[in-house]
Amino acid sequence: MSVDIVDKIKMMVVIRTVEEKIAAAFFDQKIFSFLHIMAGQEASAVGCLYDLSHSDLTLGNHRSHGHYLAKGGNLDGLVYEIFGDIRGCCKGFGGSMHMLDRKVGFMGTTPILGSVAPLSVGYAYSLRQRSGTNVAVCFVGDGAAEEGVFSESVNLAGNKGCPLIFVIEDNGYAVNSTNFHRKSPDYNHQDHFKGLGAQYIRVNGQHVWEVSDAMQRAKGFALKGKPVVLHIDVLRRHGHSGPMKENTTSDYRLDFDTLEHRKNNDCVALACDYAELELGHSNDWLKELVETTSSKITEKMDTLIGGINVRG
Amino acid sequence: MSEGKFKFIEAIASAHREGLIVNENSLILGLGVNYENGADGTTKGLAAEFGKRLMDVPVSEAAFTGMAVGMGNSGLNPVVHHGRVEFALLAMDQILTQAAKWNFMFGGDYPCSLGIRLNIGRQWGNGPQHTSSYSSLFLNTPGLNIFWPSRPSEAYYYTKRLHTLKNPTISMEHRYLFGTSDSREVKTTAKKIQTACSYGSGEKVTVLTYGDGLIEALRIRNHIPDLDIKIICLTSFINDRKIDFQLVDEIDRSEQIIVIDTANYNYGLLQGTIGQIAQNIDVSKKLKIFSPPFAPCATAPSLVKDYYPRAPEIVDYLISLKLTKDPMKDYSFDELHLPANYDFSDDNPSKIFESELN
Repeated sequence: MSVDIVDKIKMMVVIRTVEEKIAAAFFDQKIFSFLHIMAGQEASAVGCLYDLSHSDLTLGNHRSHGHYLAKGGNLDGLVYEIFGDIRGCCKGFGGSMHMLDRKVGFMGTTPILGSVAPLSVGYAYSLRQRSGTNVAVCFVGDGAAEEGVFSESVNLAGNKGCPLIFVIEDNGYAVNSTNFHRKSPDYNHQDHFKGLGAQYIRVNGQHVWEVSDAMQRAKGFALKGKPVVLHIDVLRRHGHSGPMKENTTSDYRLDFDTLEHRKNNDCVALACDYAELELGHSNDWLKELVETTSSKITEKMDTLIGGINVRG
Repeated sequence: MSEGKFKFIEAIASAHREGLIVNENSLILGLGVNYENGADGTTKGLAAEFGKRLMDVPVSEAAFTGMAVGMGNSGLNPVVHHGRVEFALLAMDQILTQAAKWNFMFGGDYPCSLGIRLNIGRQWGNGPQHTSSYSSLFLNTPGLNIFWPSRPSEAYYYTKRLHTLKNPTISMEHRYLFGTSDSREVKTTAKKIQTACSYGSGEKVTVLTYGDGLIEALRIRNHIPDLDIKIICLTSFINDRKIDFQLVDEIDRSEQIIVIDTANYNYGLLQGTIGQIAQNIDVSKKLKIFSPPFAPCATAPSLVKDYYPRAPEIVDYLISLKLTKDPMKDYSFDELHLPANYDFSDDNPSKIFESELN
């Protein structure tokens, strides 16, 4: 793992801070848009996208604020769009579920579950026509990966040799339904996606360095025309929709998935531990890095939010 | 086929060929479009000339249509073929929710250059699940333009435009018309995009129709030449669907309006059109509707024979109004149940309505 983990820690903190500020604003009735917060699973977005170039394309879903930022999307455009200000990245037409910054290769997000998969096959096909060194990456949740069109798209991408990486961010729940409730007892992701001709990689999404490595491997397969399903297990702090305050164990969460468990497996803390143990950065320095980054973004967010008035 | 004429399917294939040459970023995809006689002959011979730009796909309508939407958003101009409207229903999320809204929901300057050809079934064997057009589904969706050719020369005109699109556009094609023939000399003179055309100029009877209804209208008109029946045939539904005021004026001047709709009328294409007209003028006392019963189309010939509007029954209606005395011979079994082989070559439009295509 390269020393760039420090940059990735900073980006994870940026996303965490932005998401929590937006969540807080939601309770102040300042947000006029559906909201799906990804706080807790920042390592997935950053591990997948931070190392990609602007010529690599990304498409996301309803929960893509972090994907947008990790790919280099403009913060002002995101905040304005989520707050219903026409200065937003979609000029106010889209809202929180439609993130767009084409300058950095962030080609759009769409909330209809599974829809982004075939769209991404089309983008990857176009990409292959003009570049042999770039890939497309699309994000779905574990629920959307159950859609028929998702499996169809994996097959289609393989059939057409598209350089595409399908990322499944799996927090274990589709809204409040666990895998146990939604899947056949013998359901097997690996058998299924390998059977469709994809390379299947599963990785711990709380470890940003592992996600980055997995994405590097995935890119290698994709550039050879073999689509990849990159299955990332994540821990999300908030519920499905709206920033539900889940300070205690919610009814729908499984027994192991306690507040303490999520805290002990926090991706930012784990990345700091990694940077300390493997790369020799001091604990104090890392703590300072996190705090400085967070307070800078907090200040920036306060300024941005302070300049928004959609009621006027 | 004689040199100066082409059939509906040949008109489409010919337009595709020219479109693929005009725009090298365009391609055609769909089930079996690369077969020698692909897409019921409408892509015949193209794979030999254009190779992989004729793209066969897995039997996954939602996925390959979505892939085309993604291509259309990223610099290519795909044209998707679905052999029936019903097959395309599996891809409605991609057509209605993604393609039609893409440019809008991202704040503009992000168009989806996508053409979709949808075939509407008719004639024997098609039955309840291969004969619907679901016109209102598409017409009532902002962001989609709809072409609806009624004769081979229009099929050529519109299909060629599918290769150089700015916004997602559907071309509705009646398989019933695939065997009809027409002059290769394109009839439309529209500089913008043709939205309708009229045949004849008499003011006693006006027939309002579209698509494969035009054949019945022309048969009636040609059966009673002295009456100079005016036919208004709607051929595209673009932008905000606002009806051309000139067209309303033409309807207003007519003493009798006959509507020929080959699909279920209630809440459909022509009822919507009449609704727009009725916002401007009162047509209630001069309107007669000919359309299928509000039911799906059956399969057995004995159950289908009265389903679609037929010229002879409409002539009988004109006899009842004392507008003619000359009944039309009822259709034979073949005329009722086999695809039409009508030749449009001598049916020249008298007026073209056109509008700027956004």
